[in-house]
Formats: sequence, structure tokens, C-alpha cells
Amino acid sequence: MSGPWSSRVLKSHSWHALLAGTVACVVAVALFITLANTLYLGWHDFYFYMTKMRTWLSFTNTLWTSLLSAFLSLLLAVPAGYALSRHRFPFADAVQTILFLPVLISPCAVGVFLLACCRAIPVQPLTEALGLRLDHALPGVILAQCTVICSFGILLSKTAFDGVAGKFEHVSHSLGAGEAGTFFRVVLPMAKNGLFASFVLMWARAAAEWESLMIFVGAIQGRTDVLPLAVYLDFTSGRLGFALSMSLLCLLLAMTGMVAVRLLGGRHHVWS
Amino acid sequence: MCGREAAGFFPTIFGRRTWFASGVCAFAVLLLMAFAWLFISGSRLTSWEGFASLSRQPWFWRSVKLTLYTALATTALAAVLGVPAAYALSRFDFPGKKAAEVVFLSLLVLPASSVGLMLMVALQYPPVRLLQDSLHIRIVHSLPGVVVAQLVLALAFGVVAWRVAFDQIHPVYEHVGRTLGASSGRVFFNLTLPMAGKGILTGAILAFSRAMAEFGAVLILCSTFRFRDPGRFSAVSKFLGIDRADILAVAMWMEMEEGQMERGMALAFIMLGLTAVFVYVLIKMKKRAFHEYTGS
Amino acid sequence: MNTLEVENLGVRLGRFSLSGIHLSVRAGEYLVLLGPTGAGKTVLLECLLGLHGLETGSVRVRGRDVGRLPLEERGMAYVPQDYALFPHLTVAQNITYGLQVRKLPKEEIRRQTAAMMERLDIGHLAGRFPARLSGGEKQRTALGRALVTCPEIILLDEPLSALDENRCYEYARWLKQTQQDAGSTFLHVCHSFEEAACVADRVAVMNDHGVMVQIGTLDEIIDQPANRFVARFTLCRNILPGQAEKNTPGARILLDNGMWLHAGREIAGPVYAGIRPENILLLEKRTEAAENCFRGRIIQVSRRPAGREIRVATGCGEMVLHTPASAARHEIGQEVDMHVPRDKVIVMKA
Repeated sequence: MSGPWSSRVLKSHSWHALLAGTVACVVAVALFITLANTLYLGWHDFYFYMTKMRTWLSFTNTLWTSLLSAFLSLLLAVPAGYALSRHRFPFADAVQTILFLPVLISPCAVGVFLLACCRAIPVQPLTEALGLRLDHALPGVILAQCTVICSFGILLSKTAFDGVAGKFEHVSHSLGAGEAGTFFRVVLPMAKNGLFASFVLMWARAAAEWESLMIFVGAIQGRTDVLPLAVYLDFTSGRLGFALSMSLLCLLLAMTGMVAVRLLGGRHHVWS
Repeated sequence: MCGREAAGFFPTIFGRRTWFASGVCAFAVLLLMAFAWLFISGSRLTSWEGFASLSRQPWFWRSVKLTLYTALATTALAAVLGVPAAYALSRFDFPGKKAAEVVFLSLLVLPASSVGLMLMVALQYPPVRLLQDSLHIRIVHSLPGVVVAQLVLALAFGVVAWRVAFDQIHPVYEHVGRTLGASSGRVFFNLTLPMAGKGILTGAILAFSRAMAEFGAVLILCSTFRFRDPGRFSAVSKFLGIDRADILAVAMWMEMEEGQMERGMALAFIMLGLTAVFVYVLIKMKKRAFHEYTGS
Repeated sequence: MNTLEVENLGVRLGRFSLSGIHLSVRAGEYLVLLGPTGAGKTVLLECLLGLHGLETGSVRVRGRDVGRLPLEERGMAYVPQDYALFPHLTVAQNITYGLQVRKLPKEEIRRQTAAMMERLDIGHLAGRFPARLSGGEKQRTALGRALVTCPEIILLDEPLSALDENRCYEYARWLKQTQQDAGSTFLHVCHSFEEAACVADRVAVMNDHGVMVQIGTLDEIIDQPANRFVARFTLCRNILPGQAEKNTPGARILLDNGMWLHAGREIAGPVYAGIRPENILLLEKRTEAAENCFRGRIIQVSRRPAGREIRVATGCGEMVLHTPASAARHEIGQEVDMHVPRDKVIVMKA
């Protein structure tokens, strides 16, 4: 007969402690990194840089470009995600591979491809006709953000629609509703939370986009000031204070977004 | 008009062919064409000569090896940390779990420049620097730094996938295993891990491809290695043949900065090909996962 | 000493709670825990297994308090609802698992596994994976996996609900037979009285609110249900409220419509009178002197395997009665007289 604290009990407790320990370890490291940066920067400096116009310019630029990109991408991605979820395409695997490539490929490579693409038809004639400038300008930033998050959005919204069982559509059709009616009145409301969460994730991802911008748009101060790019520029030009305070701002943005995702409870996992 | 057999080349939703289905599919096709064109149009900037000249570069094969080794090391580290963490997040309730989830999620959407910078500052912070000094290792501007920088995103992607893998396995299997006399640790290794095998592999592939694709954090934390004094590389890295080389993503950026468009583009195509293989494998695996235990 | 002893168990899970659960299972007994869907039967099982922290009370296995022991130390085996056979292991490996964990010698493991598969008649399935088993084969494998470790008690959660209706009773009898042959103790959870009646030595009834209302043998809960809920659950279809007064020997009950109903049990105060459909007799002609007579009009007749079910509108509401197949045919709208013997009237305190 074993007592309440037999060795087996201790073993099972230590197993749980080990598991929770890994979580605690990662969270602690993340906290330490944030803390070390905050301490290094110091509260006064943080406050000082926060009152600078330049920081807020980058912040507002990031906010509106990423929101616009997320919105545009969502408009494209939701129908595409629905189509992928319900329609069987010929060569489905190849189609999906191409559509989901920008999610996993190095954003840096996306930048390289965008660079090449913008000198080809139909992009170049189009931008010339519209008088739009892509390199060293914010429209280029938006294009790069859209390219990266659009495919992310297709993946997320496909997952959200996969979560809505087809039987609801069958029932709706049997009650006499058409395709569009069913989509807007049954499928969309049911996938609502997942799509909201997708939007927030896309927005946060767009706000964090940097590598493709660096190659495609080019980093020029005062023209393409978004936070991630400004962090890099200030870092290379030795203005560590600006870079750090803007990094912390980015962190804050990311955390806010992810709290929202967590509250919306959408499925943020997409591959499995 | 709307037979199920109509599913084929024509846009249908559940076998119905309507204007709505066509419209919805048009979006997918449009985006498909846009992405395809994005990748195809890149070929204008390079040629076979670009690939040939790339393979003649003294650093190229060292770069390939470096990318492979660091990505593998990152994946292994991410698995060691991430698999137990994902299991804990999937199975247990503990104080601060919500906050921990937010932290893991945030890693997914942090700008690489901030990640690199913050890692740099934290690693140079006095207590950490003293620790590194006493252990005679250097992380910033050295090869271990590459792994550290890649780890952040690889871990974030991995944990999401691994958690889903564990979520899909009902805890009742573990309960039954334990009523049969196995301890919780044994149940994890005997039952949960084999049952989650596919999902674990999916997460590992995700982590690996993400590690391979990482660029920004590596650039800031480690800068570049190609032109560095050979004396600054350790014997191990020389033995492995990964000294004086950069990971592919950084190498690509350097080529572009130096105006070597052809070689940069060739590198971009190499990364595109590798990633396409991974994405294809992931899609195939996800498809097969449904038939895994259903006995078809 | 009882194999399982639950005292004053209470647990709270969000908005759901169980409280004041007392339960004891004797060695070698087949106890069925019966209750409607959502009563918390599965939660109770999970509490016994230690998956939820208890708010109050204790769980003892053979006199040993297992409240703080981990799952693997409690001496309970568990057969969950859909059996949870390990999908990556074959039938033989599933059964072997519990023995391997105990680090028995290889030869012993092989012998015991073979013996168990022989006993449950699943030897021919040894190399198959669970995905390719039928419901009955899965059930056998799951039971074999539990039995082979010789647990003190086996907890079965709705073991027959995954099987189709036709095979259900066959497997219920098989379960009972296996339990008797092995001499082991079973705690079986289900929501169907008929299923329980096939296998149970004793039955514990839980109501919708997670309260244990009665524990007893089948005879006890059928003949003397503790309250209206148990009566209804044990298929007593006619339950009439009334006021009882002593009328030695027995009692008489004033029903709502002013009619007197005579019962065999001495009781007074507000009561419910329960009458089973098969205990109502249709009279050929009305005898004024007879007690416990009802008059009414037939509103529905439906065919049952054993006869007919007839619904009759009477002065005290609708009543349901069963007639044997050999009885005369009755038409809808026909006026009939019914009689209930006084010893067949079940009386429950309201």
C-alpha cells in the first residue's frame, strides 16, 4: 500500500512540472528580452523618443498601410478561400502549392520577385498609366504587404470555411436559398469569428513586414517610413534609442493584435 | 444542369455550377495567376548563366551547407522546447496560460528587425554577456547567433502546429493508458507521441522551412560572414565547411545589394523551389491525415 | 469490504455540479449507473478516475482511500464510450499494453495475452488495427485490454451505445457472462433501463440534476421506486398524483378527479400512484362492486412485439396499457373499463 506521496506521485508531478517548465522557460526568456531592452533604453529615453514626431509618423504610416493592405487582401482572400474550401480544382495540390507559397517562402525572396515583376508587363504599363510610383513610395509598401499576407489570408479563410460543415449549405439550398444567399446568410455568419481572427492576424503580419520592403521598396528615410523599416534604418545609422523605442512599439502592436485574436478565438493554426 | 458529375474544369460549389461559384472561383484563379506571374516574371532577371556563376562562387556550397545545418539545429532546438510546451498548452490549465499563449502567438507577428535588435540588446546585456564570457561562447555576430535568430519564428510556427497535433488526440487515450498502469510520462511517449506522429512531422517541416527562410533577424544579430577574417571562425565550423559563408537568404540580399541581380535572382529561385517542395509535402500530408486512422 | 466506496462525493465544473453522491459496489457485482443524458454519469466516472479534483467526499477502493493517488495507482480499469482503442497498435498490442507496462516477463505476457484473446474469441483478430474492427470486435478488444490487468473494478462508459440495436442485447448478455466468468466487478454507465435490466445485479439511478435518487436491486427499483423520476425511468407510464390515507391493510388514495384508488402499501399524505401498462386489465363488462376501476375511451392503438399498446382518455388523464397479442382487437373511440389489482399499484411519496 502506498501513501499519498508515493514515488509514483512525485514522478507524475515532476513530469507535469517539466512540461509546464518548458512553457515557463520560453515565456521567461521572452520577458527577459523585453525587460533587458526596456532597462537598457531606460524610461526617460523611451518617453523622450515617444514624444518625437518621427516615431509617430512611422507609427501612423504602419497603421494605415497595414490596415489598408489587410482589408484589400481580405476582400481577395475570402472568396478565394471559400472557393478552395468548397470547389475541387483540377491539379488541386499544385494550385494550393502556388497559392500558399508566399506564406512560407522567405519574405526576402518575395521582395526580389516583386522587384522583377514590377518591371514586367502588365505591372509596369499599369503603374505608368496610373502615375503610381512603387519604389521608394508607400504604394510599393502596400503592394509588398498585400503579396505576403494575401496568401496567408487565403490559407486562414480556407481553414475558417473548412470549419463550417457542408450540411448547413445543403439545408439552406433545400430551403430554396441560392448560392449567394446561402453564402452571405449562412456560411459567412458561421465563419465570422474565424474571419475576424484572420483579419487581425493578417493585419499584424502586414505591420511586421520588413524584409520584402527592404529589397523591393528600398529604405529611404522620410518616404517609406513604416516601423519595421525605420527600426532597421535607425539601427544601421546608429540611432539605437529610436530603433529600440520603435521596436518596443512594434512589440506592443503585436501583443495587442494577438490578445484580440485570442479573444476572438478563431483558429490560428492552419497547416494541420 | 447541375449534376455532381459536372465537377471538373468548370467552377462548381458542391457540384452546382452557378454564377456565384464562377465568381468565387474567379478570385482564386486570379490570385493564382498573379502569384504564378510574380514567380515567372522573375526569370527575366536571370538565366542559366546566373545559376552557373552562382555555383562557381567559392561561398555558394558553404552557404548551402550552413543553411541546412543551422536550419536543422534550429528545428531540433525548437522541437526540444516546443513539443513539450505545445503538449502542456494543449493538455493542462495553469495560471498565466492565456498570457503564455499570447506570447507564443506574438512571436509569429513580430517584425524581424525588432526581433534581431531586441535579441542583440538582450544578449549584450551585462549578466548575459558575463555568462557568455565565462562559458567562452559568443552568440552575437557568430554562427550560434544564426540559430538563435532563426529559433524565434521557427519555434512560433512549430508550437502552433504541434499544439494542433496534440489537440486532435483526445485525452481519453491517455486516461485509458494510465488506468492500465502506465505513468503519464510513459503514456506520452508510448501513446500520444506515436499517435501525433504526422502532426509532429508537420510542425517540424514548418519550423525547418521557416528557419531556412529567416533573414532579417539573422542579418541584424549576426551581420554577414562572407568577408570576415578566417581566423575568427571556430575549428568546428571549419571542419563542417560552413565558415566564411552566409545563409542563403542573407546571401541573396547581399547579391542584390551588390547589384549582382542574376545571382540574386538565381538564389531566389533556389529558395522558391525548396519552399515549394515543403508546401507541397505539407498539403499532401494534411490530406492524408484525414485517412490516417479511419481505416480506408 | 466493498470494492468501491464513494462517500458524499461533490464536484463542481463550471456551471455543472454533482453533490452528495454515495455509492458502493460490492466485490464481484455488476452495478449499473442509470440516468438520463446530461445527468453527469460520465463526470462521475471521471471523478472516480481522478480526472477532476473533488470538492468534497472520498473514493475508496478495497478500503484504501485513492483520492490523492494518480490514475495508474487506483486499481480501476476504464472502457470509455467509444472504447479508445489505441489506433496505432494492433488488437494484440492493445491487450498487451497493460502487461508490458507492468514489466512482466515476455513469456508471461505472451501466455496471458493469448489466453485472454482465446477467452474473448478474438484470437483471429490479433494482427488487425482497430480501424478495421466492427463495433462488437472493438468492444471485445477494449474489455480484454481492461480485464487482462486484473483490476479491482472495471468502469464501462456506455459500452453498448456504439453498437446497433439488434446486436446490443446480444452483447449485453455477453458482457454479463464475461463478468460472471471472470468474477470481476463492473460499474457500467448507461441511459437505457432495458439495457440495464439485461445485465445489472444492482442499479443506481441518477436524475437530471446529478442527484443519486435510488440504489437497489432490479426488483427493488421496479417494485418500489423511490420517486416519480425512478418510476418513469423504469417504464412505469401512468403516474397519478393524489392524497393517501391509511386504510389497513393498505391505503386508499383520493385522485384529482375524486376517485378512490386502493393500494397495498400503508401510507398517508400526498403521494403519486404509479401503474405499469402491463398491470392494467381490460374488463369484459363493468362490475360495479370492483375497486380500482377506470372508464375511458380509446384514442390510440399501436402494435408492439408483445401485443398492443392502447392509450385511453379517462377522467384522470391519459393512461397507457399493454394488452397481449391474443387479446380481442380494440377500436379507436371504443369505451372500455379497466381494472388495476390493488397490489399492483405502486405508491411513492410526493
